[in-house]
Amino acid sequence: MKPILRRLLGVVLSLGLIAILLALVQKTRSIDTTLLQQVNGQLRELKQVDATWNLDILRSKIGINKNYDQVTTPLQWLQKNQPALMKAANQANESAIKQAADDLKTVINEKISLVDRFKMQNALLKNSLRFLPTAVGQLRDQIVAVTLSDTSIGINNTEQISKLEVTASEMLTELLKYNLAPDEAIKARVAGLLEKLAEAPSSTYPEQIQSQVRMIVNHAQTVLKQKESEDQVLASIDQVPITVRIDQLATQFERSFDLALQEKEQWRMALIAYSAGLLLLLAFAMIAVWRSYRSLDQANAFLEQRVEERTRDLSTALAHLRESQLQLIQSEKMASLGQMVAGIAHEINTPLAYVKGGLEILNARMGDVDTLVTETSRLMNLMTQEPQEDEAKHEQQLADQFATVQELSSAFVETETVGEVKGLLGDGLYGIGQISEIVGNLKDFSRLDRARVAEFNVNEGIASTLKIARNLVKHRRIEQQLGEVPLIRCSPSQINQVLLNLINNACQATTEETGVVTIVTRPTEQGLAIEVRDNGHGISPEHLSKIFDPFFTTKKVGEGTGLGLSIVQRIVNEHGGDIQVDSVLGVGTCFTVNLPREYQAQSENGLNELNQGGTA
Amino acid sequence: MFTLPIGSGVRLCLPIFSARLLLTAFILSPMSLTVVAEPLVGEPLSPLPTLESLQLDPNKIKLGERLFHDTRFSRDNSTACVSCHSLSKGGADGRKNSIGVRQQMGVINAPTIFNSGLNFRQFWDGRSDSLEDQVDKVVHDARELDMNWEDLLKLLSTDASLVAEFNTAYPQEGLQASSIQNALASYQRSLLTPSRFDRYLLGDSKALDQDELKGYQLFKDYGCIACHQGVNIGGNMFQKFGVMDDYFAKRGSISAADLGRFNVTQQEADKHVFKVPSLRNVALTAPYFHDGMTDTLEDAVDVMFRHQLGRTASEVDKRMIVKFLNSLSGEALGAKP
Repeated sequence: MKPILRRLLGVVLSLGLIAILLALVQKTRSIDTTLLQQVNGQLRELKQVDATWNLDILRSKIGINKNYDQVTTPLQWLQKNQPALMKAANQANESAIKQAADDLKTVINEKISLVDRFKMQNALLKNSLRFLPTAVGQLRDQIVAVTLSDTSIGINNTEQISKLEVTASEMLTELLKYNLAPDEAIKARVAGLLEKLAEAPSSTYPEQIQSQVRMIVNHAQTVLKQKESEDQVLASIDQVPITVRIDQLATQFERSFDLALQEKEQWRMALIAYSAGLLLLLAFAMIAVWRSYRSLDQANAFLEQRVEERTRDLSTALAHLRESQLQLIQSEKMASLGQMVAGIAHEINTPLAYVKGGLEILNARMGDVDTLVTETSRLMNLMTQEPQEDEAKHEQQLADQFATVQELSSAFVETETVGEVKGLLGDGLYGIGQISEIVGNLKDFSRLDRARVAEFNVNEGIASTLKIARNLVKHRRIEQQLGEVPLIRCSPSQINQVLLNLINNACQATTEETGVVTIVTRPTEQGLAIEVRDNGHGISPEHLSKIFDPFFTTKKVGEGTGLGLSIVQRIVNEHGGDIQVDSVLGVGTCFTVNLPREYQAQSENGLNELNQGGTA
Repeated sequence: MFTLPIGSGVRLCLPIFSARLLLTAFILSPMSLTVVAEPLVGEPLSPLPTLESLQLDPNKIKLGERLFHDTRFSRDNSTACVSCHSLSKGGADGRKNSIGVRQQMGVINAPTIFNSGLNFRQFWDGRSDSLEDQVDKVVHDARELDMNWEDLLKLLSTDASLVAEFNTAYPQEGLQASSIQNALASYQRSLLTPSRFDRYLLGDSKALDQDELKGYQLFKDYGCIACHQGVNIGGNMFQKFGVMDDYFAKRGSISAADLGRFNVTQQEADKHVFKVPSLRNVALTAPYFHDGMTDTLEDAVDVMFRHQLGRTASEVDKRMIVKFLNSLSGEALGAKP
């Protein structure tokens, strides 16, 4: 739990450090000057538009512009560009800029509404100014017509009507003057004249003239009113501080840009400091890693040393093991040898007994022969010796001697001693012959007189093994079914050991009365196969898999080493062959050994080892 | 990089296209075979711009036209833009007041949709600076469409073909309130109605007959031109209704709509101030004025003389002026006399 937490903490910490670094990098990203350029460009353009606008307003005022389309074109520009400008201001996310932009928007709107008002007034003013001279002319015409046609008016009225016309003309003149140069004095005069016109005792005038005068007064008043307010509006338009506001906004943008640059510079310094800190941290981390690597290296060296020691120990142990295995093999050999020697001793014992008995009898008979030879020799001496003192005595002695020899030799003949001796000697020779045959077999079996690896006829090996093991096999029925097998290259003494072992086991597994051991040889593709079958008690399945294991034995302690089959398997394997076992409890067991014609060259060392073990 | 072939393809197509147009124009118009016309100069009225000069996106116009007829824009799926701005009724509806969503009676006379892109502001009181904003206001107006963008977008976004058209016309925005507004505005800007009078301004001296020419002269002399000037013959300024003679005192029963621009600015001086309407197609868009109280063009001219010009004119002169006004109807709209 704790290491996980620590690892988690480490990851979070590293992520945090990286995040801070990224944030700093983000903060120091170069400022987008295109926005500032864009804004500056738009503001410059707006200034231009505003200047043109002012010019167009003046042109409209003095009638050079025939319509107000030009005066409205700035609206189209604003409609198209103002949102972008406001958006840029909002993006700047700075209250001063927003304020400046809002201020600019306010003055623009102010100007728009002032221009709207100007258009309204200008249109009315133009119309009235245009119409008034016509209207006054119409009035004049009407007055002339009335004075000429209508005599009912009377002279007094005619004068007044004429005065009316004069007043109207005067008013028109003054009004036009006022229009050209607005002046309070002129305005007052116009107002006075208008009053006079309006005050005229109109009811007595013809209706046509009355309405014409009303119209003139109406239009003149319109001119006065619109002129005054037009001047005011124009003055206001002139005072709308669009240029100032544009400059303010531009300044704000630039200031904010400069601030951003400064801030960026600060962030850049922070980034440098932070990077330096990170590098330091990294250096520390690297030192720590280097240190731990070094200690790891040391531990590693120590470990290697330990491994080396262990390896050495293990190889020593292995050597010991091998040595003891060889000793075991040796002791098994000695055991087999002992067994074999017992058998051989038994074999030799019987003929030796004949020989010994015969020789003992001969030895016993040798006294009689000795007596006979001595008495005969004495007789010969008596016969050939000249009697020196007493003839009779000599004679007597001779006759006595003769009788003794005769008695002795007749006893020889009577007891058929010579025949018996001959018989005994024959027996003895036979016994010696048997002994020498056994020794020959032993030599055949062990092949001590031959090369270690040689061409070998397995059938011969079986024959000599059976002879060696005669002591064992003589109470079993041995059935041999030896096929025509090829000679194989092998170590004959070892193959004999295998055969002896298998036959030995087979005999031991059976009883004396019923035991049948069948030995079969047959050629195979690779070489040959040897089967040793018995009708013994069989091997139980749980033992079957262990029988080739070293030290596994079902025999009593002291009877077997448990190495027999293990060595058999090893010998067969060293020869490049294999050994299989089939066994049914109560029915019997069959060992099958397959041997190749040529044993594997690489296992020669193994064979040598086995041989050394066998001869050491 | 990848726009280059498309662009060059278009550039390649256009001359062929316009050449074919020119050819048909030559065949159809005998006038073109005569002397090359010189546009008139120094006139207070200007001819309509060509549609090409506006450089509108054909996809957006097409899309706007589709939306213009879409009744889903109204809360009860009854009313579309076209309901009050019928193209066969001079771009308006011929009613005194229009009928909006849920059969509600509007408060003001519907102005024509034609040439509305040339107006400096939208609505009688000029409360919108742009056609886009005008769309927004009409959509939200409880008497007109009574919709909102959220619901409308929800509704329209289920229309796969419409969404696909939006994705084509507005690759970056797709279907959005702003793109809907722009599409409708683009369509409206494309609704230009060149008239015989435009041809006259462009130098075709035979486009107008003598009476109409006389009427134009009177129109200028009497001072109608003071307000009804420029390319849209109006539509570029505000003016008080009843400057020389009080219109509302005489008519009575003053409504909120009668206050005009005052409703926008809340300034006393803006009471009864309205946008000067364009006189293009005026002969097709009776009844007249913001209240729709005047049924005939003749009466409308009378009202103007009395309340705006503050002067009188002979019946003959007024008839001439009316004849001139008739020449302002778009030729493609089947101008009626």
